Amino acid sequence: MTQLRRKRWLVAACLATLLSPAQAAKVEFFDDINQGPIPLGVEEHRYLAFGEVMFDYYRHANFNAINKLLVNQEQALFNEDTDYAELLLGDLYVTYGLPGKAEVIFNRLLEKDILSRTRAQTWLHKAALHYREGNLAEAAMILDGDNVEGLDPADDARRRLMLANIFMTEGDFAGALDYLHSVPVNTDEGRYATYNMGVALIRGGHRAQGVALLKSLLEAGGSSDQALALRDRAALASGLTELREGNLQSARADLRQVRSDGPFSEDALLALGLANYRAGDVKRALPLWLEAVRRNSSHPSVQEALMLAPRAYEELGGLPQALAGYQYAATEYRQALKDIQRAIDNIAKPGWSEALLPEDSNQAGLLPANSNDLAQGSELSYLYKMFSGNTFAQRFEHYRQIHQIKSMVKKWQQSLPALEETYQIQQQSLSRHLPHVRGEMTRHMSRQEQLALSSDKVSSAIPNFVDMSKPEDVASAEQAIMWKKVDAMARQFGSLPGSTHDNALRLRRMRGLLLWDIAHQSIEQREKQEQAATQLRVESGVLGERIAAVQQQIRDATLRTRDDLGQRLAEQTQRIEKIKRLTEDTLEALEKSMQADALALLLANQQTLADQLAEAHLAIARLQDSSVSDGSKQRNES
Amino acid sequence: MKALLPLCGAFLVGLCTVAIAADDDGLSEQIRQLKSEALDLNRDLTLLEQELLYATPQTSIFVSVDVGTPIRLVDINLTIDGEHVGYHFYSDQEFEALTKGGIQRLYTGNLASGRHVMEATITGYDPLGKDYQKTTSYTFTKGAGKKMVEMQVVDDLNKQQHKFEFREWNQQ
Repeated sequence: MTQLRRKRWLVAACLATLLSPAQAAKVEFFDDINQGPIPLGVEEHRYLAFGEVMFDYYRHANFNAINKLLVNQEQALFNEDTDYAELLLGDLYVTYGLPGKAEVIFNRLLEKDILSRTRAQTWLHKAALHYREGNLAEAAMILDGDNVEGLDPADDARRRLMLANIFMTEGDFAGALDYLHSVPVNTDEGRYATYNMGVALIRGGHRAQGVALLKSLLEAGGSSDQALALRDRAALASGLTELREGNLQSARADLRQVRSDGPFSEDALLALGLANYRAGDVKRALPLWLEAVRRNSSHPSVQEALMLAPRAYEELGGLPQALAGYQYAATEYRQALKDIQRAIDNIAKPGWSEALLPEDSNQAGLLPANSNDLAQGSELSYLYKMFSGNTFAQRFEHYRQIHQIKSMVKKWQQSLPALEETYQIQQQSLSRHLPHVRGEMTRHMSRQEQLALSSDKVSSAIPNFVDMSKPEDVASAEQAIMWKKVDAMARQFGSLPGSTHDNALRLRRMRGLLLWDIAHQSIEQREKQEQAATQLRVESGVLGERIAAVQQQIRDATLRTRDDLGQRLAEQTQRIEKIKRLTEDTLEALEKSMQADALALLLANQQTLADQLAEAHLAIARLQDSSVSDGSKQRNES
Repeated sequence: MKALLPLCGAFLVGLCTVAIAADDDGLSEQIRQLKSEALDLNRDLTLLEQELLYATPQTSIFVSVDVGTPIRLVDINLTIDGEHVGYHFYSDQEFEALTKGGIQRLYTGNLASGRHVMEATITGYDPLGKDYQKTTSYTFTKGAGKKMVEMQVVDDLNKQQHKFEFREWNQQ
């Protein structure tokens, strides 16, 4: 059978190659390997169900992944024996912000006799839970203990990173470095940890060590946007540190490594100008600040550069350019103040938080759906600053998740009446049709049984040899008709007109020839008969399966007419209403707190800009005064 | 000018962000309670919906791909007995989820018992970025119990394209 299929496949493949040289839109014959249906056991069912959960998990649809795990739990497909599903559910609960539920699962797993690797993973998840909750001592105790031995390399790297971060937070830089060294710097996690460590060391007073770590990132690989942005960030942090220490050459070398079109280019331009200025090279500082002022004026570094550029002109003696520069700065500050005011007004409007949500409800990113609209009002740059703060980002993540719940509740609220109506229609339809279907089925069942018996009978009646004593059994349809005629003529020959000796000889010859023809094709004919009988048995089997399926459907339908599904559906209305109210209250509270954070930030920015505007006006007045007094002096002298 | 130097320090402080949660305001408990109740509601309603719509054993078609395949699946079109029953366009994230071992349910429905022919057409890119389209058909028989068919889109290393393999399960 397999050989036959291979041959067919080869023939078809050759045909396909010959007939269609083009690669596109090619129909592939027989490349489906049909192993035939196998019984759906528990493990096979779990394989499919867990695969579906993993699909949701890896596409970051965590809510759907949790729901599938819970549904399968309820259907007893996943239970306490399926440790892998339990562990994943715990992990998802942590991500979804339900640490209490996660801990219950981890504790339950740890009490069981499970594989040592699963045990180590469970401990790691538990430590991660403590870490997220801020219980650093408990997390460190688990991560540094024997319980987490046997983790795979990726999980072990995660463990070391968490430990390094904990030591860093506690100011134990030596301890943190020990763990950090073993985390490969060519991974995103390793690069971020190295960066955090470098900055923490600088803040802790270990400047040389910190700068060395940051500089090591400049040599690290990685070409993703994320890796390049981190490299810029490290160069900037290192350059600023060197600048603060007065190491101007080194600062300039680091700052030049920041990409001119990257997210930190404005900061780098400002700082590089400062380094040149402090080195006494005002001429080199000026073009950098002039480049900075061409950028988006809502950026704080650009706002600083707006005042620095005219000041450099002043020092170089270019008083008209300086005056024009201060006037330009004043205009830009006024515009930025207007933008801030507009942003403040927008925030006060209802639905402001909703505009920040990503288009894809599963996306956990912080880019708002309508970022283009916001960018036009220069509001986006202020928002980015808010999102860079941990508290606001977390609050927004809750807001996003609860908004997702709101959409889910809305969907169910709309679906529930349709489901109830479907149930009613089902009930009416089943009550109407079931009695008739039951009656018909009894009749069809007996027909199918008769058919099955007949097909078996036909199959068993075919002998496994060719018997030429009954030529009609192995003759084709045409041969059989001809044989019937010739045989009848031979039997009735004497009574027929023209029964001469010559005709008798002719009839005998014809009978012989026909018999020879039948015999000649009898093997092929018998094979055809056997194939037809087999086909008949298969079809009869399929009909049997259909009868069983319809019987099952009748049983299910009978149960449906008696169940309480309608009542259970109706009971959900109140639950939906309750959660809807709770969702709206929570969203309102979250929106208020996000608005307060945003307003505080914008007001602080507004104050800074107002100060800068005042400074620009003072500088303009100072230059205008000096120009007037210079003019009077010249007039007096002349 | 000196006034600018503190900016450097402030900037440095701003750059260091070690993510540790400390969200313990009054809202936290309310949020946790809401999330928990929403998960329970969603689970119960999903079960009720399944009970209503799939009172009789349903047929499901799943799609999976070779783990770590270098070939990109773009979209898939599914017909059963000549009727279009499913289409999916794969985003980068979804395709990545498949290559990491995820299995996607492409179709679930109540099919009549008996023999059915499913036909799947996929478009994809080979490792060199060249696009192609392939169609395969598969015949299965739906009986009394649930029917699950998994269509595995596997690498054909010789042609640098996909090929199909099928697995079929019957609930007894």
